[in-house]
Amino acid sequence: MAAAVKDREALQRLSFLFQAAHWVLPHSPALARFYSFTQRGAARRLVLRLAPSVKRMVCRRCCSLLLPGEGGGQRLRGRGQPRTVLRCRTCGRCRRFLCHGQNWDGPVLESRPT
Amino acid sequence: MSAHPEKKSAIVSAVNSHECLLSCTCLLLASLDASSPVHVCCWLRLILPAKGLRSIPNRRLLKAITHNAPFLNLCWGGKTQKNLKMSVIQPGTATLRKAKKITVKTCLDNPFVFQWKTIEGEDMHFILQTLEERIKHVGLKKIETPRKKKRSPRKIQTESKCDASTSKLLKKEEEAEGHRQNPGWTDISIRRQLAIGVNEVTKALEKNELLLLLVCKSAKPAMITSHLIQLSASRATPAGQVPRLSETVAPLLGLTSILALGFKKQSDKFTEVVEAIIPKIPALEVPWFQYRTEESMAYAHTDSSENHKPEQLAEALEDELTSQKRKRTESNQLDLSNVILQPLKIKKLVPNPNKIKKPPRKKKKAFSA
Repeated sequence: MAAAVKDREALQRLSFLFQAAHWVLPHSPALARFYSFTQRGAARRLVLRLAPSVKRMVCRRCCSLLLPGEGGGQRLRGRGQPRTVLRCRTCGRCRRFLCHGQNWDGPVLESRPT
Repeated sequence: MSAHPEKKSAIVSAVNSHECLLSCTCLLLASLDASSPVHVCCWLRLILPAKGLRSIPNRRLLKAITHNAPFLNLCWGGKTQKNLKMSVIQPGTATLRKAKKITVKTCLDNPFVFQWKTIEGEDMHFILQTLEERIKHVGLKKIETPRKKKRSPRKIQTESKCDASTSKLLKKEEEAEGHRQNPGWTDISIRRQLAIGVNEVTKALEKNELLLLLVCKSAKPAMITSHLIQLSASRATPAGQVPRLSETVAPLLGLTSILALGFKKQSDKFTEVVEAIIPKIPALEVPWFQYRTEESMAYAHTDSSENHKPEQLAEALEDELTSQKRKRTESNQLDLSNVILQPLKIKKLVPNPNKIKKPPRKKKKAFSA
């Protein structure tokens, strides 16, 4: 598919940026933030989809890379419906994800099959 | 071949008389003489508004057309087909949709995969046994006040009346005394040496307080404990996943379930256990943290760059870094001798596999026609 080939280069660039941000994080979180910012911008321009696991590592507001150790604190909250709360340390933005039960394959993607 | 107005009108009238779109198009094709595709498209666009449809709703039609007019096969591919595809809007009938191309969307997947290495077999048994012995020896247990006790006086109240009041009071006093003796944990000081529960463990890890970390495998979903891998690797704390931790240890401690257990650094009574368990745990693989420790050890080797994956990218990275170095003299020099670029991982998604549709908004349809 021609479309895949075009995207492949872009996706490689995205994954490279992502990995580079991880490597750089201990030395300068500002650089990691720049990398993830470019990554998000590139994905937006080409309208590329990112896996949710990738998206969760990056803060939405400040684009800084959230590792469980440095950057993002992760807690489990909620009794009735357990959810993980991911908190960015730099900008203080919280993200909440539900912990699903056992029978859950993946999110129902709402895009219509056209 | 320009459009013949007479033919046009004839066809339009024929179209109006015939209900089936298929037959209309067959008629149309029969009337044409190998005309260019552009004209065919125009013809069809003439037909469709007459029919009251916005566009050709299905590929079945396309297939039928191509079947009937093989000479048009090549012409259909390309622009017209794309136009048709673009303008397809389902009117809502399922029967028309048979030959559907399942569009596969690609999305970027996380190149890093972190998995717990489960400790199985002898090691697991050994770990569990040592833990059990230790806990029993220490006698640490949480005695929770079961809620039934609070309700039982009420039940007794419903059963008996006057005598119940006195007996209730007596029971309450006894219970109160009992509570004073064993409200929560048997030994608080020992409790402080352990971090029980995922949140406590993460807090302690962030503060670098833990010596050893044990995780239960039965977490559902597994996402609950997956963040601990990276955390523990960053703090260089050994961590192991034991399958039946929750089942064995939880009843000992008087809790319902334990998914994570951590031993703090100041623990007196658990040091033996910790030392016994640590060598049994396999090391965790988290690329950047491992290499960071290696880098700090061997700082002298700065020039050697052994990159496995595309070298151009690595060079670009190094160039960036050198420029960074010139700009910032304060920051530590980055040593990337062991960077391995993970291969690109793409997830292929089929959007909406269960064909769950949003309920159509009627307001929008009225406007768009």
